[in-house]
Formats: sequence, structure tokens, C-alpha cells
Amino acid sequence: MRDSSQSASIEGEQAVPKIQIIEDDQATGETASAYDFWRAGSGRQQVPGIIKCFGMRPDFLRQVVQFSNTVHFSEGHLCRRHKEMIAAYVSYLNNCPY
Amino acid sequence: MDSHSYFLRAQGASEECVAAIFQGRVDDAGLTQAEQALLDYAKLITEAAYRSTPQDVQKLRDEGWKEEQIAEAVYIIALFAFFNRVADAFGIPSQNYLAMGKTAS
Repeated sequence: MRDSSQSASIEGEQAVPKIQIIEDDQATGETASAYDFWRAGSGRQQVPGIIKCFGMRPDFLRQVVQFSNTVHFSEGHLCRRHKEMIAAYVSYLNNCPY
Repeated sequence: MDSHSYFLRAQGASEECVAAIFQGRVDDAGLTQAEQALLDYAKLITEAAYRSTPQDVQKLRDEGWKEEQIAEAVYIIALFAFFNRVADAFGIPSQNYLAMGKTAS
């Protein structure tokens, strides 16, 4: 596996992001509403880190969720399996452990 | 790597395939020739899209990929260039979905 030591500084057991992220229990206003938008679509409660990266722009966060669902989390011209194959491999190539 | 390796397994890929792609060992992933060509193209576009040629695209057509599938592959490749950079810049740690999924099954 590629080196991921630059992904975050480690403080105890919790990795600290390099750029501030608004956590689930800290979200208010439009950010909280955007997190709820993700929750309603996914059926899950804990918002994934990648979605929280867009918490500073909740309007953009909603669009990110929508276009991800449109082009990636769907059967399209490519099946989901092939899309995930591409996504996993590209993430490896971009040295992205997440 | 972790999130979408987990989703890849959830979409029915074998453990061998998931493990190999997670380590970048496309040749060991048990892929069809067509799938291997698709990932070779993904590597080219990820690393040097400006160097891609009509012949690179023709290789995909020769393996049976349709024009709309090739276009969609480019959208996914570029989408993950975007997500990977955001995730790495923010420094969000792996959720260890792949390991958690193994112990849960």
C-alpha cells in the first residue's frame, strides 16, 4: 500500500484533518441541512468524511451528492462494478487512502 | 482506495480482484482483457490525459467498449481525480470499510 502518512496528523487515536471539517454534531444552519440531505438519500446517519469536506459550502455539497448519485452510484453505460473498479484503481494511482 | 475497494467487493468482485486493485496490481486482478484495457486507459488519463491519442481510444473500441461507455469512464476517472484531491488535501483518514466488511461477513 502506498504511503499515507501525509493524509492527516495523528493526535492520540483520532486523525486530525489538515483543513477544518464541520463534524456531524457541530453542523448548524445550511450545513446541518445539507448533511440531513445526504442522510435522507443514503439512509445512514454518520456523514462520511468526504462529504463533510464540502461542509463549508453546503450549496455545493448538495450538488456533489446529486452528481455523484447521477454518474457514479448508478447503473449507467458502465455497470456499477466497472465504475467501482475504476474508482478504486484511480484512488490507488492518486495515492488516496480514503 | 478503501471506500471504493469496499464498494467494488459489494458489487460482486472477487476478493482476489479487490486485493489486487487495492495494491495497484491490475495484472493479478483476474480481469478480462477488456477490463484490463479499461484500467490501462484509466491510468493513462489519470497520469497524463494530454498524452492520450485516438489510438488509445481505439484500443478500447477494439476490446468491445462502446463510445458512451468510454465517455462515462472518463467522467468517473475525472470525478475521482476531484474526490481524491479533496480527500488528500483535507487529510481525511480511511474509514477502513474494507477491513470492517471482511470481519462482518
